[in-house]
Amino acid sequence: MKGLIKNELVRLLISPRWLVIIPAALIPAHLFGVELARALNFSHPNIPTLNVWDGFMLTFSAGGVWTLAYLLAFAFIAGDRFVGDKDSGYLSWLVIRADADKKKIWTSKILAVLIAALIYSGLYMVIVVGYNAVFLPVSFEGSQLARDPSVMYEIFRITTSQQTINFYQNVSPFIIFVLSALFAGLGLGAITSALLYLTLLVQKSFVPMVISALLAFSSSLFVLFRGLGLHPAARLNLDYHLGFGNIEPQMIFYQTISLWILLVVLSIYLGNRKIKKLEI
Amino acid sequence: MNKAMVTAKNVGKVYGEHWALKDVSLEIMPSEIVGFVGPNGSGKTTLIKILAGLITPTEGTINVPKEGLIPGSAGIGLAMESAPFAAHLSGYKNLELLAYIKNVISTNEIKQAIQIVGLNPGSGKKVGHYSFGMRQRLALAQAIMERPRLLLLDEPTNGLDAQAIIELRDTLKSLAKENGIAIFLASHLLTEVENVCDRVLMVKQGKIKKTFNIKSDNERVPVIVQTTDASDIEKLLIWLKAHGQTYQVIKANEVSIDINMPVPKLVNSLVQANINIEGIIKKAPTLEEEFISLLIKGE
Repeated sequence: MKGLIKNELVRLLISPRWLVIIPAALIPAHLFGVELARALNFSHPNIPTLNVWDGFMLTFSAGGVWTLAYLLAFAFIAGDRFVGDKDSGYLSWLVIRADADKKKIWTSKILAVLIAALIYSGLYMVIVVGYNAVFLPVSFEGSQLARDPSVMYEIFRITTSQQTINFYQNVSPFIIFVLSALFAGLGLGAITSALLYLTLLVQKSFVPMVISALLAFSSSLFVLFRGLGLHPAARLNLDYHLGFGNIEPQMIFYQTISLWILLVVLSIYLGNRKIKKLEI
Repeated sequence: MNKAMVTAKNVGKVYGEHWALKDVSLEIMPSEIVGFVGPNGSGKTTLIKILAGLITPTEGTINVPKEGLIPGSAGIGLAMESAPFAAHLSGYKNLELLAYIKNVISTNEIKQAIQIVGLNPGSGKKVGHYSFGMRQRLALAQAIMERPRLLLLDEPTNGLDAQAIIELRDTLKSLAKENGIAIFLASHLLTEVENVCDRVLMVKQGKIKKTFNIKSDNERVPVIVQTTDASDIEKLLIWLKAHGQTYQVIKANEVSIDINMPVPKLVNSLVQANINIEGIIKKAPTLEEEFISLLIKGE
């Protein structure tokens, strides 16, 4: 099993498709980080100059856009892990080396995708912070928006939850960065696991990309109707859970994390049941 | 006597209402190279997939080696028609990736396998820049690198040039002879199958129509005897009847005999019986002739 995971992970990580992460991170970082921070400072001259961490937070405040880029790029990288191997014949080499135990192969594929999603998420966040650091003042202090709720109130004209204020005021931006990467990575891994399971049912490599795009588009609609906070793509955003921006927290972390873990476990369980009967 | 490496009993596979394979039974002994020939859609790839454990037969039983010559390794090596390597990695790196799974062979053993198939293990050339033939060789290297007991090859000579085919033939023969590996190969190239295999199964519509033992069948082929004139034919027929030989008159002065004695002895006996012989021909039908008569003409 360890060998299978290593094989899956190495093949996944060495793919040139990873280059797609650069535009996928830079476009939201530019449009919703750098440009939005500049625009806010321009339209609200009385608030302090927003820094790199504001740019980072603002990048992820536009639910639909960043989730579209984030989900779609990873679906492009990892969405055909099963169909691609089956169509090319690589799966037959795996089956032989896994002593014809297809369940082992499926489990290792899901776990490798989960690990790759965490790596992807970390890289994505690094690119977003890096790009914002080029154009916005670099600071080791937290976000101005977060440190002064009145600033956030002036900008967004909404009631920001006490939970958000407490969180941002008392936590280092680096911790928020790491938590965001882990949280979004886990969510991404869970969604991609479920998408991979779908490719067992509909063996077309474009399925994960199409579903990812639909998830991201619908995410922005769901976000508009705040009562529908269970939507998985909207929930990828850490800030969403903290009530940052114009949304009150719909559910607290541990419930969401449990949902992701349940998705991964279900994808493994249902996938194992399906793949053992599948002819290769 | 060696125990069979592979045993298949009454194996069948149905897709919908179409039987891709029906009632296929075979045994492959260690060191034996068995060919599998037939027209397109005759079930060659299906049987290879069943033997490899990729698909489950609808009926019948299969026994294949569970472990290779190296403890912990896979018992089966497989090289299918497609060679799905990562294009941006070298041949060695590609094999190393696969070797991670079992983790039972060293880097030297990977390099050795690449060398056996005539590629350079030290080359950093990316597989994306390989010719089709080089990819085929690399696919064979991945199949043999963990020393399986059974090697399953689907169209192994596709895309190879003449020299590469000859080298592959020698490689397969030495793998079988020196390591006791049983080899099962499906191919369209009948001459190649005939040159490399000990036994060939001819299949049509999922059924084995004939097993052609290359060596022993060639030893026992009809002898055509041509006599000087018709009177000699009469003497010849009397002689054949007296010696219990089966024969068939082809022309006025030509008889085909299913001889059960060596040709020099036959010649000697006929001369002693005062039969004037104009000529003797002993020619085994080639695999191609058998293929045409059995699978195309359906004789």
